[in-house]
Amino acid sequence: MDRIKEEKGVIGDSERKQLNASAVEVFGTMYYTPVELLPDLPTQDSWQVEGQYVKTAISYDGPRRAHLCFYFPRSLAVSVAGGFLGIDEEAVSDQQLIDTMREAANMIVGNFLGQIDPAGECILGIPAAEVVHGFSPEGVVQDGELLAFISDFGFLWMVYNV
Amino acid sequence: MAFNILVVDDSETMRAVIRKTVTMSGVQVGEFREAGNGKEALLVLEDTWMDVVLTDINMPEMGGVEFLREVKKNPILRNIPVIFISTESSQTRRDEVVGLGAAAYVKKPFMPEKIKTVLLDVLTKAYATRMAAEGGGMTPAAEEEADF
Repeated sequence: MDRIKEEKGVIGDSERKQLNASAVEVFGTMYYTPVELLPDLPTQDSWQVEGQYVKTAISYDGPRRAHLCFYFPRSLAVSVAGGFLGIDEEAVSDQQLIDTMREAANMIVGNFLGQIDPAGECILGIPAAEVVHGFSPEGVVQDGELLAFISDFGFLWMVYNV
Repeated sequence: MAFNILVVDDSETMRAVIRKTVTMSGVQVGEFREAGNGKEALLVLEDTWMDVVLTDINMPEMGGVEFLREVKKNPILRNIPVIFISTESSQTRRDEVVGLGAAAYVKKPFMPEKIKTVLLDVLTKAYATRMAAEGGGMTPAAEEEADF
């Protein structure tokens, strides 16, 4: 059933749980920041949007393939990068934000892939990240399946596409 | 005794975190060097002796697995312990790097304590091998205990 969903470009139910487990583990263990994948998209009237996001894209290819694009709110990225590097949040540079969130996406998807591809047949790509202005969930919903994680810094968005 | 340590990761922030973790582990660090991929790491190894290498797998230019193959091909470098610290968590990939001669494998995300334990274990084994050849000395784990 999940493979059928995947072929249609929709993440399967078990993959959804595994993706959530990976994100919870990465953010909890490395960044001491709780996140949780929401079972459904929040209603549109609750979509608070920040001025800047760190967009991080990563793919895997092989017997299974997907492209995942995360949109981390800048406030979340600043808190995570500051704590991770042990520096004041005011001192965190854009490059450090980009580097930290690239690593976060790499760990989330790497761990996710370890669960859905235990034989290690898929190849994980190199993540790419940039700071973007004017992000809106409505603007990316056509790019794939839109998912939302809740955090102390508002919603962290992700687009899943095959 | 101080150890020269090389960290190989394309993420500057991850290198900084590993460096901080190693520094806090109690291991006496002589020279601490960093590289952004396997090619850069081989250049470091050409001009400086390293007692241990901690490397990622998934990096541009040259990844960790190819780097390990190059190290093992080189008779001068082949005995340097290489520890993998990577997001790639499939058993197949772990078996592959251990089969190629990796000293240990740590999955990201990691607790700092895990890096400390693995590093001390690997350095202790490498040190014991070296001291057996030269005679006498205290292992890194014993040195760390003696510091308390």
